[in-house]
Order: sequence, then C-alpha cells, then structure tokens
Amino acid sequence: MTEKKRPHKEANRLSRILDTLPPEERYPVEIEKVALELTPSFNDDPITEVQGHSFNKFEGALLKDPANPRWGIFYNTNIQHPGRIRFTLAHELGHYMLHRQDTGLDGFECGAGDMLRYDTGYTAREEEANAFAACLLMPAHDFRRQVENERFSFDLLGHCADRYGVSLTSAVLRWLEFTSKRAIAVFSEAGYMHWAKSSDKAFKSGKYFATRSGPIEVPAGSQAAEQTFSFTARDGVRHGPGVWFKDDEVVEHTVYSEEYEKTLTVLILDNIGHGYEYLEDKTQDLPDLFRHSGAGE
Amino acid sequence: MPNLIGAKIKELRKAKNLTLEKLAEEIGSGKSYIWELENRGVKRPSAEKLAAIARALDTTTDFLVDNGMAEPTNEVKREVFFRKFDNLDEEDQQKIEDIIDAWSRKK
Repeated sequence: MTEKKRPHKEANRLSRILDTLPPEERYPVEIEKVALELTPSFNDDPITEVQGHSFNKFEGALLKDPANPRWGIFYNTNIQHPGRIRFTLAHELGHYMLHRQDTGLDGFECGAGDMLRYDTGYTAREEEANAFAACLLMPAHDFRRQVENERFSFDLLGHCADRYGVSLTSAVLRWLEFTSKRAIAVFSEAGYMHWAKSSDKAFKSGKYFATRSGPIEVPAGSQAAEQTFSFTARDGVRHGPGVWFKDDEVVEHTVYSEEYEKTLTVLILDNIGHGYEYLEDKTQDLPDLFRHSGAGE
Repeated sequence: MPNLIGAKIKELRKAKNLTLEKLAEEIGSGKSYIWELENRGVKRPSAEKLAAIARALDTTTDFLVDNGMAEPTNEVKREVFFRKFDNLDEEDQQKIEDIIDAWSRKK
C-alpha cells in the first residue's frame, strides 16, 4: 500500500507539531486552525480562508484564488453531523497538502456520499485525501493507545469517535487498519451492502465481500437484516457457520440508525471457537502490524 | 456521477410505502435491480422500464429523468477544477462563483 505512504507522511508531519499542544487542546483536531495557522508557516501559497456557506448538494472544496497565491476551503454548513464537517475539512486540507501542485488543477470539489461510495469508483486522489484525513484526525500513536488490548465494541469505537470528533463509521474504518483480528465492517441499507471493508488479516484469509461487482444481499438470519436497533445486536451476537460465512462462526455487532435508515455491522472472526471469548494474543506486535498494513508509515 | 434518478425513485417509493420487493414486482424486475438503481447510479433503465417505474410511482418519466443540472460556465471551468461538476446544481454553482469573486477581490 505504498500509495498511502505520502498521505500518512504529510499528516504525521502536522501531527508532530500538534503533539506539542497541551493535552486538553490536542483532540479533536481543529482543522480550521491547522489550515489557517500552520500552512502560512511553510508555504508561499497558504490557505487563508476557511468559509462555511449554505449549499444544496455540495460538501466541500479546496479552491485557488485566481488573483493571488492563496487557497481557500469552502464547506457546506447544512451538513448536520459535525464529525462529517471535520472530516470534509481534513479531506480538503489533504488535497492542499498532497495535490495542489499537480498540474492543471485549480481546486477540488468533493461531493456528497463519500461514505457511500468510498470503495466504488473513487479516484486515487480521493483515497489519498481520505487517508490523510483519517491519519491527521486519528493519529496512529494515539489511536493505538485507545484500542490496544481492548476487544471490539461499539462503546470503544464510540469513545474514539467522540475523542476525535468523527463519525462512528470513520472510527471503525480506522480501527480496521489497527486490529490484528480478522474483522470486517459492512455498511448496508434496505438489505444490501453499500460497501464492506476487511481488516488486513481477514482479507488475506479470503474473508471479504466484493461489493464493487454488484449488490450483495445481507444474509437472512443476521442482525443486520433486521433493520432495527437493539442493544443485543450492538453488543454482539454469535452466529454459527452458514449465516455470514459457510464454514465460519462470527460475532456480529450491528447498529442501525433510524434517522438514516442505514446499518453498520462489524463482524469478528477470530478466537471465537471457545465460548464467547476474545483471547488477546500476547505476541501481537501492533507497530509491526502497522508496517505490514502500511498504516503507520 | 450524481444519482438523481435513484434518489428520486427512492424518495417516491418510500413516500408510497412501497418495499423494494413490491416495486420490483410491479415493474417485473428483481429486487437487487431496484436497489442498484436507487443506490449506485450505474444502471441506465430502458425507456420501457422507466415508464413502468414512473407508472408505479405515480409520476412521469420526464420528472425522473430531468436532473436540473447546469452546464459548467466558462468562469467556473477556468477557475475551478470540479471533478464531479455534475454534482452541483445551478444554485450551488452560482454561489461558488460569487464566493470566488468576493474572495478574490478581498485584500
């Protein structure tokens, strides 16, 4: 995953500066401040504007001033979820840090539905801007401290989402880059998967859903198929073989949002053969896993 | 590509309290076909299918097909690289132009 090296390198460069902030000011990362206060210190064409406006469809854009050597980030204040705005701003800052010198580009406009389409036809630049945003908002060294030696739960990930001021989905996607488990996140609506993402280990063991090739139905008998919220489903339900995978048991954690009519599921495949236990592997070496996944570069 | 037709179908279907299955049945197609149409924006329904959908949802094919999208003006083409320009409706586009204009004259 060498294509992710540069986004992480650039995000880490900013994170090292932000690490000097007092702990109570460190998280969530205030992207507007980072853009306005830090970019002038190392660039001749800094970001001088971060403006929210009310738009219909559009989420955010990085634009170049046609008359002056400066850039602006513009975003839609109609987006309800503050975590989504933060991620959008970080994404546009990513375009600035990574792509503004690419020839022929004077700006980036990023449309609605990035979470719905994140693996369906995204360009390389979009993926890089997302990787940058995730890494800047949820830096590896801090994220690891939050989740290491903890088993998966939506409470744990909800804590991360709160700490970093991002959506639960963003926190889950970041967690997948860190976990040594075989785990899969599935985002579904009306009984079909919008997308699914496997952890490195799950993917390498052939456990993934190829949602790009066409709609995949959420299996009958799963909590995700219910499309209702329950604490039981949120806290994890164990399914025998034949529900999610033919030969594998899984523990399924599912939350359903009434408001958006969408379902977020995390499937855990590891260490579930002996009662409902996640045995932490004492030999696991997270920094090392990191290197394999490319996420800690 | 924006999926306006899909969004319209989804909205009308929900307003009429039709399930994916029910709408699929009414227009003689599979449930996954409707889901893809609503959520992926990759399908181009045939005129025949479109007419059947419009009938089932008590609307017109014109309404489903019209996307109200603006062609990029030269101004915006020159100043801004919009990868997904077709995401912007006329109002948003005008707004962006005004914003760039005001910002550019500042300082």
